[in-house]
Amino acid sequence: MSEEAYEKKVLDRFSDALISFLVKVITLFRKDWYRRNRSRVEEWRLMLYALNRSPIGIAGLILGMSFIVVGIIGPIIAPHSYDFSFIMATGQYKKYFLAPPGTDGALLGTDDLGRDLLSQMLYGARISLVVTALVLPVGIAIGIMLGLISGYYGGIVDEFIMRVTDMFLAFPGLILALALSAALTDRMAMAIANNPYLTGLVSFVFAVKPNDALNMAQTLSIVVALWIVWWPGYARFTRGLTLQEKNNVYVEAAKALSMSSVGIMTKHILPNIIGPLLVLMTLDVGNVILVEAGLSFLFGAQMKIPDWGAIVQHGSQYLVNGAWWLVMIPGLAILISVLGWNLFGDTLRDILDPRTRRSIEFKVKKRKRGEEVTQE
Amino acid sequence: MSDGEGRKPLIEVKNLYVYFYTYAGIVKAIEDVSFTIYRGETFCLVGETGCGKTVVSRTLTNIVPPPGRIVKGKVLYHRDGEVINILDLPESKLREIRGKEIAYIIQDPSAALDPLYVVGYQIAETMVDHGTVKDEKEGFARAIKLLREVLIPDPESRAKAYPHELSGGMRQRVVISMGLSNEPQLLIADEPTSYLDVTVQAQVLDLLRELKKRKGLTVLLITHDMGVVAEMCERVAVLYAGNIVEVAPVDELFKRPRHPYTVGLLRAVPNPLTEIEKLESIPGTVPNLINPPPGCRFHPRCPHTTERCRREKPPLVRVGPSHYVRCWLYAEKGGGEA
Amino acid sequence: MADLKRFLVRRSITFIPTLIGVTLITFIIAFVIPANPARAWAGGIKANPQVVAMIVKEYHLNDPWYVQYYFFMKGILTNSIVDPLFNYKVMTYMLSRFPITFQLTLFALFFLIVLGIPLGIVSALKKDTIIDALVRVWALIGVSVPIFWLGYIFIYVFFYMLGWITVAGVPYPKTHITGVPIIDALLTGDWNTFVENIKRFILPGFTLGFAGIGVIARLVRNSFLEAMNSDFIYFAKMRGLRRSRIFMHSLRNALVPVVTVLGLQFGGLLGGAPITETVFGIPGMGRAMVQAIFNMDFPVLIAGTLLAALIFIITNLVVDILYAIIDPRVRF
Repeated sequence: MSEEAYEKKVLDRFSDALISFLVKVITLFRKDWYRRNRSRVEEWRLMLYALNRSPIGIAGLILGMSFIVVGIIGPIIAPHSYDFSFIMATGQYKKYFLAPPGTDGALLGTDDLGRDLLSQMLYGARISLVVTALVLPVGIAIGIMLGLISGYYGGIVDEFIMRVTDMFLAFPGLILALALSAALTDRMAMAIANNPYLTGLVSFVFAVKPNDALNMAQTLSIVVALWIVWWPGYARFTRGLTLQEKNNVYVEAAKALSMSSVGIMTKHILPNIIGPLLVLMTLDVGNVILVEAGLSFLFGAQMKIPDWGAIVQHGSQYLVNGAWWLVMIPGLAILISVLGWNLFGDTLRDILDPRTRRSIEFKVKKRKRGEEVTQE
Repeated sequence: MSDGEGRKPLIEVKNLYVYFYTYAGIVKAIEDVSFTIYRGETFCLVGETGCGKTVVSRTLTNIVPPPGRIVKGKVLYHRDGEVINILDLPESKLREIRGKEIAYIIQDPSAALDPLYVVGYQIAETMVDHGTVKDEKEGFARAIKLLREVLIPDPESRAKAYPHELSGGMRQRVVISMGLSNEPQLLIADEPTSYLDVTVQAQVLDLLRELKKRKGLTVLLITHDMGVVAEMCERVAVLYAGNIVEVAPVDELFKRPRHPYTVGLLRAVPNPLTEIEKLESIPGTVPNLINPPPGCRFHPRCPHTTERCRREKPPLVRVGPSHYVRCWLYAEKGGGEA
Repeated sequence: MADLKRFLVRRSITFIPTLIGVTLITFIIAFVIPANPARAWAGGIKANPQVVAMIVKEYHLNDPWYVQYYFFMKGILTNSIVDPLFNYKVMTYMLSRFPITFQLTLFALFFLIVLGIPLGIVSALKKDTIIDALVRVWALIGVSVPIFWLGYIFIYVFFYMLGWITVAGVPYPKTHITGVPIIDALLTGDWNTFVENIKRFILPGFTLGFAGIGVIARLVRNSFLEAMNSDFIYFAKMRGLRRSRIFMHSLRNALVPVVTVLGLQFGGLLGGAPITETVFGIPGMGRAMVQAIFNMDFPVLIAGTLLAALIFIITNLVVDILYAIIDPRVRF
């Protein structure tokens, strides 16, 4: 089908380059991979082309990537440290107490302690990013693993895992996360205090001073809490997908060829269910950002190194005084980041859904000559 | 076309064209289809899957689903002396005809019934909305009687059952009773037995035959099974790739099939009483209707193709009493009639 | 109806292990996860060592875990857990705050149903028009916006700028029947209090339900479209049924999955309650839990978590039963 005359767009060349790059990398590890998976690669190519033709999807992707980029370079380009105070530095209390955006050197304004909102936002971006990057892969990995096992083996194993999943799902997510992170804080603090490697890691990853690493205990407990809250949803979803796949003939064939169960699960079932899972994961990025922001909002003052949610909580007290920027700007940042991932995830879902896929395919493969399709 | 037995026409389909506008292209599903159904007869529409028989049946009440559209043609309905073109009627008038004067029985009875309502209610509502009964209560009582007529045992309790609680055969009988509930002029049975197993199939066909005899129904039977045709029909039209290729009384069709496709169809049904070495089939496959073959649509698979077949589409010509064929083998002889 | 009863029995049986599991998980959070549970329960850093010792004794924290679990459950069920910090019965306290949160979620649910469902139907009927696009945008924004941000914006507009709503206290009617202020006001005919409650809760309720409205609307839209395009609706048209009847068939079929999703959304409402209550200053369960964190009041946190889970489980049970009533196919 790749011989069809596609109307290639500019972006398509980037997609082609991306795919060639990926294929080269994979071929380094497995020489014959491309040969055996050629049709799958063409599928990916088609999907990327479809993405290129969706302005909303591209917009979402850009916003989502911005979240990642800002998160990474935030602390590096921040004009001041997170604990820097204009008031302390210049002594100009009146000028830098709840200074509105645009004040000398404080592009986004300051809070009641004279701290620069812009810098705080940039450091907060890193915290949000790290939390998201830590929570999702682990939570999803646990969930997928358990879901595969549950769905594939069935019987008592399935019953047991599903019962446990149900028990966790009986708790409203945010509330469970709240209780868990409150309970875990002490342990996290002890772990950081007792382990210099952990201290170093924490301070590097969150871009805080080593002395402040201990203050990240609350954030770390949020990460672990979210691992526990996140896996049940994926376990259940993966199990559902696995049950459907299990009935396919190729599974029977693999069994007949004496393939190990683990092998079947990882090499056959998993690649086939990765599509819907990928969509869920993408849409979930926004959820993690929101939940983390919500939790840090609720923990408020206990988040000694504030990230976006905590900034809002701290600033909300001064809304009466008219300091709208402390609440509006972090909230807007959260909204934009989450929106980006949701837009991208939505588009991804449309591309991967076999029902909507057909019409997208034909949009992509529009013939150059002749036959114009008349739509009613 | 006229009918030897002097029956009056009920439905006249003239030069019907139905196209489907899909993103893959325009599917020319039905091209220049014409036939007449006479009062009191059982008329069969035969063809393989995908030839367009269901689409044709849907045109009779102008209910072809999008992306399909009737682009040209007439469907003339002879009602009480006057002749109406169904395709000209507004939706409100069409609604009155559907389910009352022209009723359908469809292939998959599970797809016909709303899973959330008991079957008795669904039969009743068909009657209520057409004024055949006063309200749902009377409709429900009538429904029980109808269920008895279609030979459902214990109709009082069955009427209160949900569709998923009934077997396939029973669901089809429910659909049949819906079709008969308003005493239609024309009953369109679209492959009524395809989703049933063979024993139930026989029962349902017997039932249909009995009901038709008792009520003097006019039936349009759509099927791909030549055996059903032989059992049930008086006149047959053979449909291939959206064209009518042959029309004849049933005996005539079986004894003297003219169109090569009909010949192939009949030959494909093995005779259980003779020894066969291999199964006969018609070589090739059904054509792509976005780009149908030029000329006669059957020519790529026909053993008697000529140059003319490849270029020109043959007209429908008379080759015997009430027997018409669309094929260049016969178009030279006999009087032409489109 | 016999199989409905059978279904009820079967469903209730799965209810119990989940219930036990929930208490187990709560117990683990309460006693196993914290580094020093006795100290956490006694008030954290500022705990009086004598209180700590008393807690260790009372909850047998030096005994094997099942013994601890037993005494924990006993404390919960007999409502004898007394908060060491503030010296009140924990469960009583949480249960007293429950009606307020219930009222808040009631308002949110009201919006989900009264706005979400009609918007979804209109969206389906007017597919691909401006209304459809707007509903789509609402759904998207709804799940992307942080609740607290939305709440503060609303407060700024409707309270500071327009003064339409109130943000202080909860108006209680003179007589308490159910404990839920707005219901009591309705039952006693106390019109004033009724209106005051509406002014107080309408905005927080809308904020809490904002995301859910969009989700429900999209769901109803898609579900309705699917129903409208289903085979039996096509057959209904073939039978010449009148349009209103066909609409009812589509609607009823479309609403079947909505019931389940409403139930799941309820969990989200409970989860969003702490934030909404904090932003709007509503003295409900969620706010109590947040204050507990600030006060290092661990027992309250645990009680709230357990209570929330309990409410959610019961809600889901009710939803499942409703679902079986609506959809006869499920009853097997």
